[in-house]
Amino acid sequence: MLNSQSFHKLKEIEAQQKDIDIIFDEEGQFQLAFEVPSAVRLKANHCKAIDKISVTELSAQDPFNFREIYRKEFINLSNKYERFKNSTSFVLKFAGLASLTGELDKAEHILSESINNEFNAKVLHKLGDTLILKGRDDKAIEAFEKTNLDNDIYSNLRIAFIHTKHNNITKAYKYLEHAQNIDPADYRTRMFMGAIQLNNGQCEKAIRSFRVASSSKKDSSVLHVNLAASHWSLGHSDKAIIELKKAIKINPLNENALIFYSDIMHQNNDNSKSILPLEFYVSLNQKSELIWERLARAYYFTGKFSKAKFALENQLSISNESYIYNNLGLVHWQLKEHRLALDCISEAVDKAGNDIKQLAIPLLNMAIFLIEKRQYKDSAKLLKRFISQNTDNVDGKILAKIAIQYFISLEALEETSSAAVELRNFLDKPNIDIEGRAILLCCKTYFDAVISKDQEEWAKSTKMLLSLIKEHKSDISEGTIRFAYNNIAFNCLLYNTITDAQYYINKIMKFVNIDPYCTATLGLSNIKKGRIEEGIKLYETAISLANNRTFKDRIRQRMNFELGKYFISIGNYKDAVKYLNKTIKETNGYKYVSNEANNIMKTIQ
Amino acid sequence: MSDDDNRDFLVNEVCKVKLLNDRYENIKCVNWPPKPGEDKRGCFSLVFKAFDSKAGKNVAIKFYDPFIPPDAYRMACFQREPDILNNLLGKRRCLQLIEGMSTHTVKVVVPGGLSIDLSCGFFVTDWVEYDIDDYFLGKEHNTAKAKLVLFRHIVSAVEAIHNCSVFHRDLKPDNMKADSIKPDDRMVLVIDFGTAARYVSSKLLKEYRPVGANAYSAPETFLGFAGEREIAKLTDIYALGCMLYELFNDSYFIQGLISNPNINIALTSLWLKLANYTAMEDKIKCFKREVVNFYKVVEPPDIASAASTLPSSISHIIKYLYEGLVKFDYNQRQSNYDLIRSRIDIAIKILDNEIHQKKVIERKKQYKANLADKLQRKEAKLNHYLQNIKRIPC
Repeated sequence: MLNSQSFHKLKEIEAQQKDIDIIFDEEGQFQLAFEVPSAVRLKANHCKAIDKISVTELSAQDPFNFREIYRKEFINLSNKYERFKNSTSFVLKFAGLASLTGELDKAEHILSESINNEFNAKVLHKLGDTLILKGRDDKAIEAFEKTNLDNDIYSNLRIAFIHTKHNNITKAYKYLEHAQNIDPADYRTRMFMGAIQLNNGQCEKAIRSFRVASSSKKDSSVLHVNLAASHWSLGHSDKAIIELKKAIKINPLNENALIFYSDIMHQNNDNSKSILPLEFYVSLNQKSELIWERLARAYYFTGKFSKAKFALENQLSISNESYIYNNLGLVHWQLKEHRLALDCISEAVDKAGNDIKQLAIPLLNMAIFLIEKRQYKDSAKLLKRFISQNTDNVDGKILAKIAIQYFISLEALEETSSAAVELRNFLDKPNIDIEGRAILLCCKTYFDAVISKDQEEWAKSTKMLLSLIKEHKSDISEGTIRFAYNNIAFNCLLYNTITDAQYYINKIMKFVNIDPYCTATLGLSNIKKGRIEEGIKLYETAISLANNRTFKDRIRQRMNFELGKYFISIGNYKDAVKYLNKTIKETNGYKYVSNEANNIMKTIQ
Repeated sequence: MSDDDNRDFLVNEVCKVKLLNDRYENIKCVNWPPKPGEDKRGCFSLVFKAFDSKAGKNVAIKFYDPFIPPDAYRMACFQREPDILNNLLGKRRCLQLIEGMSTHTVKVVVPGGLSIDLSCGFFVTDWVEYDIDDYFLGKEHNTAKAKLVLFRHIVSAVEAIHNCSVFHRDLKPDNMKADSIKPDDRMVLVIDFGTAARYVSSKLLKEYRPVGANAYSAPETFLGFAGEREIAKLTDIYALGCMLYELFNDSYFIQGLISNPNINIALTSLWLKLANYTAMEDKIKCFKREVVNFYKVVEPPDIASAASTLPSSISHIIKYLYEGLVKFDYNQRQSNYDLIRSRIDIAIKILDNEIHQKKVIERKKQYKANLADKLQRKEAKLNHYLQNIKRIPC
């Protein structure tokens, strides 16, 4: 049966993908950040250019009423207007405070007046900045162009910024090159260039730009995040991690760096390392949903379920999205609080409503939950309704997992023909990714060999599976590849093609005594070869490695069945009957195995 | 009558007095009425300039403004101010108190024709004529050296009051005045001790937020430590750092500070942590314990950024000094005045040296140019001699 062959956790804990902000101006003057895709998507992109640029406004809370301070200072400064209105320093301070207090017209007025009286580059810069704040970008460009662009870095950068804002990267690049010619080591120019290069997928160039920037400012957290994003895009995971560690060390409150770091560590299955910095962050700022979410995920995957529950409850106090309930449900599940788990997952399904994309994961978990409770009919019904809808938007990996759960339910209900049809339908779906396709093909080989007993079809699907692994080995996880080879070896043994089976067993030998499936398959191979004692020993190891009662019973059932078949093959009917009887009596065993054993019993009696 | 009308009435009544307390004449209010388009300068008092016929010099007479909304804390501060100034008597670089708290009675006719006596408290200090706004708001007219010399004066003025165990808690350019317009024989004095306190002063409030100008208030004052006498000196030091920043930048220190969002996070987080304690001692211990987490994330604005007018030759020295003055953690702030002054002196010497070196280079250039000119002339003369006298073609 399919779930007996499952190789890793099917349950899904979700985390929202957070795009990485590539910021090139730490003082926030430019208020523009490129959003590079999240760590997950960025890795998948492999340094492809992205077409989206978004402007992110810096949002500021004001618990200490700093705005009031600006207002008071502005009033105080206004009292000195007549005396100092011809002073550049005063004009700049006045305009700065006016902008902060929302008096942009006053700022523009005093700056324009000052420019009319006397040319001053700094005043022109401020006027341009004010015009940008007022949304008058054309006028701002005019102001900046009045300065001498041959030696004014700031104006070049500001014009580049405006062009970037309007998605005109080519023009922006021209001004950036201008700025770079004036001072090739200027920090902001290099940061800006690097961000554009990274955005265009020129990761090596971006790294070079950020490296030059780092020569003038080493203690910039933002710079290290940008470097990490470039390295990550190039697949240099280790370098990205080093840069992110530096970024977090410099600024432990850099949320962007923390999210990026924890996502990478999650991908590397090294969640424990991200716990400490995340815990530090939440000790200072309990209002970040994304950080709570990552902390919960890190706890979950390191087995700290109570802490994960605490983190998710905190996240729920900020937002009550469907996926948070789903995650909380999984944590309750792990804590054996089944009632609460079901409540939370049901809530997640309810909250997702008709949003197929959001619905997929809680639904998958609900199905797994029902299957664990042997409510196959309910799970099949639930999944059938989901599958009948348009699932094009659903992540391929999740869809594949849903498909597997659906087959498990159908098979348990002995609806094998429907299961075969659905399996083929799923394999035809374009949005199933390589990993998902590999899992489904594994299921198909198993289905063809064990359920349908169609050797021709099995040979075809095995060939497809092997060519998929050969062509896309890097895109398929190690667990899936192990699952595939184990499945093929198992099926070969069923068809008594021992040499072929041995070839695939060799590929999974390192998992013997670690993974119960691989150990059991080697046990089966030994029985087929007549090494009974060795075979039984391996099967017993596999039983001890299995993590639950049902699983243990099923491995034992298969062992007894194979022993029964072996004793028939050598004419020892007494022992054969003994083992076949044990096979049939296994209460938690597979029905189809019991049926087969029954049929054999009938023939020998 | 509105408060402004009442204030007009009071100011007129005081100005009408020929000889207040038998010695102050030519009384003129300096902060009321405000000039058109301006607001009243000084929130809680009415300040008059007068001539002290006894001492033969100008003086400042400070009345508590009776028409501001009732504020027991401000009233108590006003009452305490002459006592604090009393501790500065005879001390160099300190504002001198001429006469302690007195009262002046003004007859006020209320609706119905009834007249009542309104007693107004006042005290008298030295009049210090010149503000130093020009250095902060007209910076382009002052050299870096002039600004540093002024800052040295400011530091000395603050040190002078600290030496008398007086802490101002509202230091800002507006509360600094100079007694001369000439930089060479000028002395800067701290004025307006309305929010000042001494080590021994009893606390007027149970809980404190910043008592002075928020733009120059240290982080700890936002966390309820503004009333702590042990910390007050370091709070003044922070304000010095803010002023140093503003001498070389065209923006306010607070603008640069708040542009770092971590400041708000750190302050809020500390505030929440401190809220777990009631005793001030425990709060201080908690602050000391927790603030280390924020050292790296609460960097002050860069005094030597691209927009700064700080000469590159002294940027390292001044940056180091500035960062020591505006440390987020008051325990880490540089409060050794000798060290502060020595840093400023080194920077001034470097600037002097730079000027000297520039002159030397200029002189050398001039000498080289003269030499080249001389050689050219000599060559021309020789050519002329050879061609025209000796008739040798060159």
